[in-house]
Amino acid sequence: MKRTLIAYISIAVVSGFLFLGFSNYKTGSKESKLQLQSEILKLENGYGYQIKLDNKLIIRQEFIPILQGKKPFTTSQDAKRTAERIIYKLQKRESPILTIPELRELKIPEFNLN
Amino acid sequence: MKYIYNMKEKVNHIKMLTMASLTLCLMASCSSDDDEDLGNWTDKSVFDGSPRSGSAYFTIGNIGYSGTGYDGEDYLSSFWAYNMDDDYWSQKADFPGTARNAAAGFTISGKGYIGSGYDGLDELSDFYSYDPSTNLWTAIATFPSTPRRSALAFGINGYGYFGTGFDGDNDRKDFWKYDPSTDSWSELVGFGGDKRRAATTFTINDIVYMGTGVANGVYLLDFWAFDPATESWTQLLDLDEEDDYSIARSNAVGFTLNDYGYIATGTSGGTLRTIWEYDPSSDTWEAKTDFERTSRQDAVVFSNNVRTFIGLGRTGSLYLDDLEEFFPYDEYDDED
Repeated sequence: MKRTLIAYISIAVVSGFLFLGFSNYKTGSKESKLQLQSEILKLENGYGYQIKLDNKLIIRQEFIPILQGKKPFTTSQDAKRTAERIIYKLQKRESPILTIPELRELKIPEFNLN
Repeated sequence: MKYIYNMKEKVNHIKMLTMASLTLCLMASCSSDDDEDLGNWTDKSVFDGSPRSGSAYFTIGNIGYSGTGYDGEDYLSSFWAYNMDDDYWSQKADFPGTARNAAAGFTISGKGYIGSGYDGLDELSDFYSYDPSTNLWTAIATFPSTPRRSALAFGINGYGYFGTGFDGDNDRKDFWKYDPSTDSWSELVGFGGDKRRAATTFTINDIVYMGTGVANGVYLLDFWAFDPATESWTQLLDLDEEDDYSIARSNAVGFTLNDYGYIATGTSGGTLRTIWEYDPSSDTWEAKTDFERTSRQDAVVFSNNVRTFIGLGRTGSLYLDDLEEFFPYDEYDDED
């Protein structure tokens, strides 16, 4: 009986450590979030953005993505929302590629002409 | 009495087992929930996603451009530029044609061209030019012969050259010339090599070298030089001339660096990481240090004869951190 109890207590302790291990893993994951920042660029006739990872420039966008021609964002808020979407996607380990439906959803006026 | 005691013990066993399994279940459900929320953390890559294959690419000055491709689910039309000097990317104007992969890309006089390819149903023959100074795409004359994918293309001396490839039924051996001043195509005669798809080219001092590729499951060994001044082809030594050559492959990338030619990655039964260096003065090949990253076919290469970046195109768009610069003369260092 005692032996069995000790056995179960050991199992409980091991399970506890396992659980703690999982919790640590979770915290670790949260801490390992990518260090991504966006900066809004004030351009001659509008706004752009750049994305940095660990303070290293990885994406610089002086013109609205997808759109033909060199049209910057009209407002800094448009640029900011778009940059934040890219960071959101990168944090989810998704490709930073932006699509027309996404830019519509972000209410970028150039994609909501209709 | 002993019997009852045992019964109690059994009940205890069952209670504790139930609790233990409940705990384990809870832990299991916790962790699986977190997997869904947080995604997969095992890959150290910044950018993740399904593999992208068969993107078209070209280089203008110090900017590499790459777009289209297939991510395993969708054919893509997004288009990116990589600044080789400052090491950053920008998403440019979308490729205006049908989303596709296995398209051909080339540069003529400071403009990029992408055309042909495969949209999941059909081989294609439409072509577009990209002007980096305006970020605008323009449709050009449609390729007048059989639509195809996995064709070969290069630009030199103000003209584009496009040929070989797979038309859906057969591999091709015809070559065509595109003249941007008249926006017209004309057939080029005189290529004596075999029909093929997924071949590779590089240009050294105004001579274009062409080889590799596959036809009917056979990796081709013939190797050619094209002189654009006379538009004539000359056959060079085969790619298995020396016993230790293992150059034959398809879906490789070709590039030029410091006046040597290179054929890298690709597939020959399995995907390859090997890089071979071509010396045009002796018509000989030498193996260089294998590409550091996972082997893959249909890589992307940006090269301007001064610097070269090879990317594996492993991503929904591009693994932006997946490019590696190639230094052919440096000692191998696995720490960098």
